[in-house]
Amino acid sequence: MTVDEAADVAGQPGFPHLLSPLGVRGIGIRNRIVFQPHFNCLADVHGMPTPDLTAYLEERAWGGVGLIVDGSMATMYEGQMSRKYVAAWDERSVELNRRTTDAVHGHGAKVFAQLNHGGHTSLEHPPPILWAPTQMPEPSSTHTTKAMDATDLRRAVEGFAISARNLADAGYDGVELKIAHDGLLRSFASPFFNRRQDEYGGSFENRMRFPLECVAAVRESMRDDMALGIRLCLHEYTPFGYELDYGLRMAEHLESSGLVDYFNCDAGSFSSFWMEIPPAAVAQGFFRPLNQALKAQSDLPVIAFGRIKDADLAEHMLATGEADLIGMARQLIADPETPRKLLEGRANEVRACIACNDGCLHAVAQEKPIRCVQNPAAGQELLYSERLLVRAAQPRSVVVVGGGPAGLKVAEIAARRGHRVSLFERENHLGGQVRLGARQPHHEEFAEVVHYLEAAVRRLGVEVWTGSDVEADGLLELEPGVVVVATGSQPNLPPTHRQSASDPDAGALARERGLTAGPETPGLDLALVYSTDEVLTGATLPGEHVLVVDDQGHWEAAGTVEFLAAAGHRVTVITSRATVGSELEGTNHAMFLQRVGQSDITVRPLTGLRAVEEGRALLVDVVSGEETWVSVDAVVPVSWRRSRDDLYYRLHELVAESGATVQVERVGDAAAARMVQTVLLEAHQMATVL
Amino acid sequence: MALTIAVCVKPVPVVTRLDPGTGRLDRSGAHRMNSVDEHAVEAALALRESALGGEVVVVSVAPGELADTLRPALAMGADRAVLVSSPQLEGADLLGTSAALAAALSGIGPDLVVFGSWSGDGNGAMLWAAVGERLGLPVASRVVDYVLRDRRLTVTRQIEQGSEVVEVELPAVVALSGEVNVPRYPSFKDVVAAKKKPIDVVETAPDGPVAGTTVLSLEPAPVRTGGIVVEDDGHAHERLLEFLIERGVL
Repeated sequence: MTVDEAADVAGQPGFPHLLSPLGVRGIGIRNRIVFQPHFNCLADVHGMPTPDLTAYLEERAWGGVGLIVDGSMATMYEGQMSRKYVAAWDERSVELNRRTTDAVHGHGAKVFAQLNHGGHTSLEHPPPILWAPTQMPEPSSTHTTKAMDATDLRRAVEGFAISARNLADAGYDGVELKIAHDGLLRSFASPFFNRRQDEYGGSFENRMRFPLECVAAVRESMRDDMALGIRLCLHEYTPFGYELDYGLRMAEHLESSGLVDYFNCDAGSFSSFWMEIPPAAVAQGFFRPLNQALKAQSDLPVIAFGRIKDADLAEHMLATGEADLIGMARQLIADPETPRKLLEGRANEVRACIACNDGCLHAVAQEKPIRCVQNPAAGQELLYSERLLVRAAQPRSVVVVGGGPAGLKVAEIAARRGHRVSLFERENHLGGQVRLGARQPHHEEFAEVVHYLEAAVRRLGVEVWTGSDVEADGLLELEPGVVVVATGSQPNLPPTHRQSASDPDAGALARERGLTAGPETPGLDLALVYSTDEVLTGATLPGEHVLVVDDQGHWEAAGTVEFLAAAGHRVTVITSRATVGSELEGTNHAMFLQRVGQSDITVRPLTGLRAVEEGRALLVDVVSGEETWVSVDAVVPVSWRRSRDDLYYRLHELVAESGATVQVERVGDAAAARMVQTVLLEAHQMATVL
Repeated sequence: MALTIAVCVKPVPVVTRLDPGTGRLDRSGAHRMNSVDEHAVEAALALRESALGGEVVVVSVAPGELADTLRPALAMGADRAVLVSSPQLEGADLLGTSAALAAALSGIGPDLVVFGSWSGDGNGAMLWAAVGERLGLPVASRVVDYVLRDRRLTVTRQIEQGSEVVEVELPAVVALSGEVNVPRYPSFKDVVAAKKKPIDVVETAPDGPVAGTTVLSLEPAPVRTGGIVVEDDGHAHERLLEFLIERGVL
């Protein structure tokens, strides 16, 4: 019996705590799962909620979540961290927000809104004027702040009050104030950021005065049946900031005011933003001690936070009394249906967040609408929600060649639409490059991309053939209506390089026809040159010193550097750009550099590769043009990959010759090597029109 | 010595879920060939190859719309498939299924009938015994190794105390464990060829009752309760040891 079969036979475990209701200030929440507030960048450039924003939240309500916390929303123009933060102070937002509250309530969920004044933090470049208790930049920024005067303080409190009133009018069930990883209120509470000597600083009580004035103003401005919560940073995780004991003291002080109905835990700051929205390198459940500590001292309901994606962990945390509610943001971005699937005994169908931060955090930090690697519909539910999938009027025979993420996604969506789908994968396992990427240190969860897709296609009855290398002429004998070529890509080393022995040269036809370019650096066909695919499939590299050339900027390069270092090599990584891993999302990049600093890895930015010879490589300083030979035992160039598209071209020719009416498409890296996020979206789009 | 080898395989649901209404397996979703049966097919193919000829016939009892779940066996190299399908077999248990299989096998006249030891959906592991009984053939179960010489099959059986070696004369029934071999991956050419191999759907049902059991009630397995959580403060190992010693484990 395989593990999967054993789990199937054993049946589904229940989630009695996670799926039980809870009242907060008399507001009945149907289960303990909370969609945590986060900037999704779906408002328009005037901070007005859009139909996309409503659809984004409605999708999670439909998916069964108990409570949604909508936001953050801005309390005034000067505290709006991006023009695309919902402008809660502006009464024009009321009717637009009402669309959201009506839609969410229509699916049986409750919805609060979070209010935040951005204070010393902004996503805009350059930032607008930044407000703070004391003039100084937030250390992650070069931009300094304005020390607030009495008028500013009064206006800021009014901003909270007006916004709360608008939210009440818009039909929200509660309001949450952010004294958390960004914004003005935490900076007032912080001994580091607040150096004031007036009644708003100098002592703990004085530092808490301004946040409490805002809390009181909000309480007075909303209906009595609305809940008031605090998103509270319990630990700043910076060398200069406060730690858990101070965070707990803040909580105690806020609770003793009698104005607060619940706490929503949080940690980190812009100066430690990898702890705000922790990437996969931070262990799941890392922040449990913070939740536990607050729950232990508080009589109020506590929402746990911190990379909780696993329903069993969530259930355990509730069962053992660590928290009253479980906050999830990214898990519900990745799979809005998570709660519904748990409820229906389909826990093994949940699509897990991989904590890559590429679609969610990376996009919105650049003020671009939220996206998700795992969920192509995230932020564009009106176009791609799985609820919009329609059965094909004419079921077709769809043959997918390639069992990487692109092929699997096409197969999943096509099968869901009622097509008869067969999928061929030449390797004995599905997954393509995702399987390789997941072998890099800290990237185990990346494999969830394939775990979900493989389970889905098998559940849907897709005929899956692994270890089966497709031949073009045989494909037509299968009498397909559509052939989707999803054959992936290959590191762009010369066709004479060793890799072609185990992985036949990709793109030979394209090269003949001038449709792809080869690498031009001399020496890349030498035996000391290794492709990333060779490295990650377990090739033993000679010698100690490996030179990695990062002309890619993402994990294919950076993760391979760490993979080699973990294997005991002394690694030098060069890049012609200003930093290694230049395309990595910020939290990932920061933690990558932290790990590099603790490893036997030498980083040489602004350095290019000119040539490789046996035992040495010629490097060039891209600023000065100065060339240097360095001794190396192996070289791993990571550049763009070339499409494995020979089958696609041959099939087109065969179809034309045979006169058969077969639609031939290519998808994913077979069309152009890209990030998995765009590949999965493209595959989804393609499968919806087959 | 050309052999006719019949391999009995079962389409099982990809997701095993009980229908609380009927108390039976929910068979509304996609099906696949029972995973241990792939080992049975592999063994049959290997035996045919070592016998330098013969025929491997896949036999199954299932609704006709599940015929394609037999295709992987044909792609691996089986010559043809016979699917016994009848509305009367709906809800059949060991009684009806063994009768239907035995009838189909009688028509084929195999030298050897090969089963996977158990089915992955209902965890049944008796069908081979019932079929052997109906056909009056010797049965060797839980087979982890085998050698065929002339018409004598020497098999190693896994038993609780270790293993035993027994010999049966063909015709016989064997039920194989998953450890017996590694099933082959069909090549693309094999997959294409399998599309053209015949699957004969036989729409007959055996005389007599198809089910001798009735599900009276169904209870989900009790949810496991919390247990004891040991937070490691540097002394967790001591508490674990105490726990095990208290209960006489150590």
